[in-house]
Amino acid sequence: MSATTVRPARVGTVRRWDAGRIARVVFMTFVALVFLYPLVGFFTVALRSDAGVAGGTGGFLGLGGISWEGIQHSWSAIVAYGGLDTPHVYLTWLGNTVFVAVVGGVLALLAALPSGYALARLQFRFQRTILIVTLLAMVMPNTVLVIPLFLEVNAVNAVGELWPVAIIMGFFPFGVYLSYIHFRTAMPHELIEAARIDGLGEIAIFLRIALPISKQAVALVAFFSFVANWTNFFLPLALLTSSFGTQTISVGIQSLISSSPLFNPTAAAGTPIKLYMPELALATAISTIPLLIVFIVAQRFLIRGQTVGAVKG
Amino acid sequence: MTTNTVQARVGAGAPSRAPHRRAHPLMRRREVAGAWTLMFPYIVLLLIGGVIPIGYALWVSFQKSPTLLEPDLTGFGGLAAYAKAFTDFRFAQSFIDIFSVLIIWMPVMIIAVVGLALLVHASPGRFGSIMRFIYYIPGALGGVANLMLWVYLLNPSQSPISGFLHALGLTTIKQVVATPGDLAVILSAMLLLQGLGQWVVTVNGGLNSIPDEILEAASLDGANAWQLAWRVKLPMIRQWIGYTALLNLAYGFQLFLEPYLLNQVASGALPSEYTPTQLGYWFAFVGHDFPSAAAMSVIIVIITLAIGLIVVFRSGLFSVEEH
Amino acid sequence: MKTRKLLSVTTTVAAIAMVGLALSGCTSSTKGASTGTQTDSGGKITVWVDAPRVPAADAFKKAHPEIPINIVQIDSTVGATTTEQHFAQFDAAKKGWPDAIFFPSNDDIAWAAKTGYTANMSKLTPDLVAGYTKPVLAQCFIDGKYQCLRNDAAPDVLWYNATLFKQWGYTVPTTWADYQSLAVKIATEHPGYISGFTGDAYAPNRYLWASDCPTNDQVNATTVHINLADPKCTRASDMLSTLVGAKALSTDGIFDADATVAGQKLVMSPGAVWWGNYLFEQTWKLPKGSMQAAPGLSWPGASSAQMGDEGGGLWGFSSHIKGKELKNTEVFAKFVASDPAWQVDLTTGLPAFTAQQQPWLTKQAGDDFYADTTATLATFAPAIATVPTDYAYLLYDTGGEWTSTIAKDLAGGKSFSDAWTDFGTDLTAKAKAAGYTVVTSK
Repeated sequence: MSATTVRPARVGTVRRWDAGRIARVVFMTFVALVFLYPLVGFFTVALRSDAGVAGGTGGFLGLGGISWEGIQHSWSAIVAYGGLDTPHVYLTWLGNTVFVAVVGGVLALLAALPSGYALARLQFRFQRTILIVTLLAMVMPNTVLVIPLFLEVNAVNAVGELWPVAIIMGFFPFGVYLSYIHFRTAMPHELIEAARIDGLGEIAIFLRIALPISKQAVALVAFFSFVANWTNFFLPLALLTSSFGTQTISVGIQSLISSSPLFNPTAAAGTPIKLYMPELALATAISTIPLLIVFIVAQRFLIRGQTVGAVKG
Repeated sequence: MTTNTVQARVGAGAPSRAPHRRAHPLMRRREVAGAWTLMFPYIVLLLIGGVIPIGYALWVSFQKSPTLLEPDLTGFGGLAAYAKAFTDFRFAQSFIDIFSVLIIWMPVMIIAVVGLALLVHASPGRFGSIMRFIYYIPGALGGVANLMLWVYLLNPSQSPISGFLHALGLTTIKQVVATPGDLAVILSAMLLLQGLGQWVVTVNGGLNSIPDEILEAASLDGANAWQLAWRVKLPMIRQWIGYTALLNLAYGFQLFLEPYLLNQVASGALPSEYTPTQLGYWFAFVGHDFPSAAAMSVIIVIITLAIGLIVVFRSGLFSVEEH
Repeated sequence: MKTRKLLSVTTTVAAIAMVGLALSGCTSSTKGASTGTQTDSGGKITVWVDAPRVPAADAFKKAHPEIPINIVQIDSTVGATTTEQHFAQFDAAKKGWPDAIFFPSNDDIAWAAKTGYTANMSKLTPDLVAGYTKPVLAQCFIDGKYQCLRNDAAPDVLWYNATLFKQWGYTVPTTWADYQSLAVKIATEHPGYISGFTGDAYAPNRYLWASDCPTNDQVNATTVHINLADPKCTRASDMLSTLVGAKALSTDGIFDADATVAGQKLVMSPGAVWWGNYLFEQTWKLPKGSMQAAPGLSWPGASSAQMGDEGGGLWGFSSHIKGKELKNTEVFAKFVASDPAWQVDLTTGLPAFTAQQQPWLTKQAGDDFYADTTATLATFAPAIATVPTDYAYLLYDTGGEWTSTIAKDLAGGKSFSDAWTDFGTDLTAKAKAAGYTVVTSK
């Protein structure tokens, strides 16, 4: 196995504009446009005025209706939302979400990579049982886990606090499977055997050999758990019942929706701050920005050639 | 034949195999100790987030099934809760409904994910990563945010596809979602748009972990891009595709939030117990009958696993033998 | 190989079940919240309100700075059941309930009373209960005691567009038969103009409750009387069938965003007293001086008007508290039910509390939105007496059944009679699923 001495820049890609390549580029661009069309329209709504959106003006996808005043108005409405008890609650929700998503993501990483490695490449009893229980936990509907999880958190008197949410988010079976599959595709047994012969302990093998070839798995697990935590609706809904100010953004946006005259017109008369489509779209759009940033960061690690060759070279 | 050896090696080495290294009992013990140390953080979380709640739900599902009018029905009830869930007037319909969504969504999803992942993988450099980013963006609008996007898309008075909706004779958002047959298509489209990007990234990750030598070797053997994708890459990522199929199946089967929130947008014009999970939710929180809700979940899990195991075995997801 | 795998799946499931069994020893059963000890926070109270009621809680906070209060805003979107979910969790944990809640939907009072959450207001605050007239509090009288307080009264009156009536030379109907024939006439003479809405969860209240149709007729604690073939139902359904056939009604619900457009073409409709302020003035922004209310309609053979009731929110208070926390909760109850700082200055609905009705009406008169504001406001308080009092909020959601059958079917183009059949089937099935015995005659 004397690979990696020659690493052709791009395997399987012919650097010519042949028919296949043109078809691929055209098709992929077409799919991208189909995706972008509604998204651009939606993000544009976030930048327009109430009256403009309601009146349907603004031309193609409403792009002509973007106005600085519209953005300012929507932003001030979102920030002002919250009442006497919890001012600027939107910002609080964002902060809470950052906390649970980051802590949950770190825990998920700390748990998923070693366990994925052990499940894939070491032998111990109950291995298959753990895999099956993990699978079971993934396919179990959330709705039925709400009450037992609530009872657990209640048992330690922590209903309404953020840390139990973060810990439960750290249980991320998806990430365990992801690393399990990763180590099974990317980490040959010979490597482990060789390291053992060299006298390395099991933990050291994981830390010094398995981890360095797993940047991609780390990126994927971290990224997916962050996204899952950020958009999680059920867990915060179930566990953060005791105060409006301890919610996360997904439940928060649902609160915004439910107090918008568009969805709950009886709210039209009672609430001092009226949220219409632009305000809701802006609140939604802002809540997606961290996910886009995380993706761009993670994308740097989603590159090829980090497997056997890289470690041996 | 580098290709063959690597391929064999990559596929091999599942747990409980490899009899060739039964060597030293001392080494074995060290391996087991190391394994449990590495497993420890996950085991703790698995107990808190998985085993205990699921165990609780399983236990509850064998209790007698109360209602608010008969709250005193407690104690062991055998399969009473299962019988109640099974004979509920919405039970069969909810499964028909979810299957009508899955049957539209799943094939499109899997083909689109694998196809786009292969295309992205065949497009190195900036173009590929820009495309991957664009495919991902809708995935950033998860859950409630996704709903906001669809409220915008489905409202004929402001939708960017209003021409299409008007051509179908739909002028209000309620008509759009409440016209018979529309809901399954809309939910499929919601799931597709939301999930596609993330799964393209996942499967793309699988493609990335194929050792370069294999692709080199195939290239040197004269395989063109198409053959490379079909004959080499696709078989190598079977586990990843199996994983994608399984997880999407499970996710689709648990469909709850989207129909629940769409119903609010449609001013209640949708059935509030459209999917099996919604029916389970009804049992738990509207019917105040937690045993039946747990039974419903167990039924959902059994059906998911029954379909899922086929996927697991066919894709060799945690199989022992290869090919 | 496969047998081995299946075997290990089975053992795994069995093992998990054992864990559950072990756990069952130390975890309490999921219900039975009715018995439980009362606790005292030492004074701090937690109140749950929906978005339109946040100003009430804020006003209380200003008026009573000495009482520490935690205000939690809850989801009151149509069809949302998250509040019920939270209460089920609290019942399982036997703690966590708020001290006071504004129920997102009036039907919520049924489960809140059954789970033992709601305090007995006849005992807790008898003087407050005495401040209401009997019919306005009828739906709070559950199992022999008053278990909630009404925020606002929401009886229906007949709303009409005085400008159009004058222009087209119509006379205001006083009976349901007149309403029907005039609605058909309007639809024929002025296509596109409408005389009512069928698409919202209040529509059955507007038409079926008004007709005293047994949809929510409680016989005893576990038995309900549902019979959509009852003459009291068919007179309403026949009328609706005719009106739908004549395209005299909009399939929108009053709360739909699209109803703003339909609302501009509204000629007349039975509707709650809060329609004037909520819908016409604030949501649909109808021109000032056009809308007008008339007293309710009467059914054939009856001498007096009989109308439905749409919402009019309910306050519930916890039975799980004592001491200072309970005392402060009583202060809160008194404030939201009867204090002019909320009931007159801020609330948009007709106060249910009798003493605040006149001050509220006086304040509304200053707005002068209606064609004849004095005459319109004069219909409000008397309308309370036109509502049949034997309608009970129950564990099934009649409004929800209506929207997911009739509203959906009509929006999808089905005939009214098909939609009516679907509604009847679903309603009975839901009542049975909730655990009721359903009888078709009393």
